[in-house]
Amino acid sequence: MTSTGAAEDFRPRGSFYEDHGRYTGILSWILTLDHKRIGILYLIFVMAFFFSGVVLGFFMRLEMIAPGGRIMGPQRYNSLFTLHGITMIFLVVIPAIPTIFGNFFLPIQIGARDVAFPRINLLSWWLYISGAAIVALSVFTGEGPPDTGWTFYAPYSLRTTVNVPLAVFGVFILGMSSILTGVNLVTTTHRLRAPGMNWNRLPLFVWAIYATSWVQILATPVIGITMVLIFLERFFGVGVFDPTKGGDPILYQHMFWIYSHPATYIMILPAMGIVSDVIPVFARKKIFGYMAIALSGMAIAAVGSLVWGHHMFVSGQSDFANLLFSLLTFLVAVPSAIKVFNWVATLHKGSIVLEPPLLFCLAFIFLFSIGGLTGLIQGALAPNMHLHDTYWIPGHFHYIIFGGMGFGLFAGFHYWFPKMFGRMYNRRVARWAWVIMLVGFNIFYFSMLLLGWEGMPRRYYDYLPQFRTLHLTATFGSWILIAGLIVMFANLFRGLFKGEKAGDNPWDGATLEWQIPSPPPAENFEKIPVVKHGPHDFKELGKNG
Amino acid sequence: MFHCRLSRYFSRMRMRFRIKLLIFLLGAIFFHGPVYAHVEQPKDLSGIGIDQRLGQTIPLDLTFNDENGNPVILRQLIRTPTILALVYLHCPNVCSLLLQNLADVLNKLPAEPGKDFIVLTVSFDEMEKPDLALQKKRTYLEMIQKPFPENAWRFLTGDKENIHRLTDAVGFHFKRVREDFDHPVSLIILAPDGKIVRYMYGADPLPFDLKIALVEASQGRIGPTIAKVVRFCFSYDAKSKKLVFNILKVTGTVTILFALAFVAFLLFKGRKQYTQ
Repeated sequence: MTSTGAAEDFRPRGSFYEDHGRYTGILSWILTLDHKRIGILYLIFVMAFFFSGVVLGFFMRLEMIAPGGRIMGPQRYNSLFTLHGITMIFLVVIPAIPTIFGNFFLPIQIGARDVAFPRINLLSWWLYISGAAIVALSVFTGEGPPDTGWTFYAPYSLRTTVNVPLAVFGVFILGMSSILTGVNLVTTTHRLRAPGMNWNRLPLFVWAIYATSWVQILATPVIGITMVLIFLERFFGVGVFDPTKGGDPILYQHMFWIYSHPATYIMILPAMGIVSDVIPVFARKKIFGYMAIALSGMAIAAVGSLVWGHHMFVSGQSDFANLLFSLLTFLVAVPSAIKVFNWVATLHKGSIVLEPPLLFCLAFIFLFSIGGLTGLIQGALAPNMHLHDTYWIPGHFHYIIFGGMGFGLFAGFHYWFPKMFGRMYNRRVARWAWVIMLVGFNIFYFSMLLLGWEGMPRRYYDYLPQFRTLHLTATFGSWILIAGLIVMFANLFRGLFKGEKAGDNPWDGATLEWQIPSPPPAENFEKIPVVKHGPHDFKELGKNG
Repeated sequence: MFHCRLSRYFSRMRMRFRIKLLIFLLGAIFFHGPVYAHVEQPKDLSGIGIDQRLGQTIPLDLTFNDENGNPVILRQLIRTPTILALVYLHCPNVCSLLLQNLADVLNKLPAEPGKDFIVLTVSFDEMEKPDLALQKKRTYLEMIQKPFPENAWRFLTGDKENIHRLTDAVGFHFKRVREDFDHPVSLIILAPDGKIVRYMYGADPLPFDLKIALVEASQGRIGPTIAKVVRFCFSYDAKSKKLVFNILKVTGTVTILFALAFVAFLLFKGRKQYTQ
């Protein structure tokens, strides 16, 4: 590897950065039909929203550093947690992996030149940006930012005077973007696989995105319809959810969670795909139980769509419904556990290379396991009565969403960075960032689990003095976590411009994206490859080069 | 850009198809929209509800009767943080639920009744008399499983004028419907000087909320209302929702059919042939 600092090298000859297509300048990006450019566009915006979400979260934690509500009033705090939720869930966590890595790598991994519908792909990005802009607009206009929580629970969301309709409309648009991305990636997987790329040779990341896309297609329309109903109710006075008009607020909760629980699987499945792709590469070993991992992803998608009622154990649904949803919740843990065991079995007796991508995957397994097991605790009916709406719940889902999806995303960044940009970040710094984040993360969110266990309710801007120590610890942890994030992103950003040239296959991966130049040329393959082996056949790779 | 023409043609065609479908779906929703507007008969809510009067002081010179029929002035009772529950004592549903839940919470509350706080249940039905109040007091004190001082939970009845001066002062609006009342359901927390510091809506107060409200009341701090939607006492009729459910069924079926058609397309069309 040679080190050069020249800026032109960032766009080596023949890469997709250089092939600007029909337009030049900014237009060559925002009107591009190249799946890789669209992936980069998503990367930029998702990261921008991620940072704003982090800042919102930082201020929430700062408010909770001591009892007494010293920094902001309750209304502002309500807005903060609402915006933190909307930003992180709808703008970052749901779209992140399918749109960034799904767009960029799924076509390459199956040996295609682009996605099936390049124009719809661009339309999806425009819808995403428009939806995000509308949500952002709702913060600065009307009678103030939404204060309902990201769940928009009726009847409050129907009556609050703040800018809920605009935010709801934004979420509706974002949903359309999500559906179109799903349709696109499913079709791509079915129709554009290279010769020889059979279903049992698909990289597991493709399998994961495939399962996710089906959830996006089937579940997202429900949230769209729900948002339309909120609209009708607010502007035309139709009583669907509002009990004073003969409506049913529980119906709202059902409809909301019919989408939003599967959405948590939209978040975690792609991250599981990344982990399944990364681990064999750094264990230098074929994955243990390929089909079990691939099909457990589909099983999670299917069973995960039937468990929404576990959000409503104390909302007044029938005891029978409670029992059924609790049972299904326990069932969905089975395929997740299958994956975890298979990853660990893959590492067993492997020739492990502890590079940053693998470290992030190990963190994923650890944090996701805590998140999954705490999920079982609250999925049982009796403890749920105690834990419902306490800090336990945000503690649990941050372990899943941030510890799972977030660390999976970071693993993806460190794994595919050299392929996307042709350069390598500083691996030593990346390991330090990993340590700092992991420490900060656990101090932060484990305190939240303990707070919830002791009865601290969530979404409160103030608390009793008895919770002081744990809240202080959590806030302290959040600072360490943010410090780790800054180190990690600074390192990646530096690598973008000053990193060493990475070469085409720095990790010795066997999937197709590592067999083409870094960064990839426009249209990816000079000649459509003929696939002769599975995604982890490292022996075959040794023969070729 | 080297997209082959075929792919361009395909994607254009399919985009048109998707757009048409999208328009159809949206159309279906909006077309059906007004249908259920005719079915719903919003209940008449005029004159019922709560206008929050946070920070204002209730008149402490009001006279009520206690459970034994003796006249008492509010000033004599409100000397510590006070939980005020406005109910009518023969209420068949939510009022008794509120008082039951309150008794349950008092059982768990880590504060000393009588010293750290008192509870005042005031009936807003001027027809109700002290003997009913005494009977209710016995019932609810029994529900608290630990010893609870008699003086820490008072059940007051009074005449129309005193009742209305109190309910107007706290912004509590209710309406008589023959024997019964339509009314909001809320606890109101008062500071020792009679200042209104917090409203706690709903019939299901949480120990945490109550504790934090009492701490604030003892310091005279005014707290926000956390559960912001006022709960009311009235019924829900599932039968009248039939049309809404039908709309949901229709849209659900359309989504599933769309998905099935999509699966069929993917399966029958198979892999695309490459032209190198």
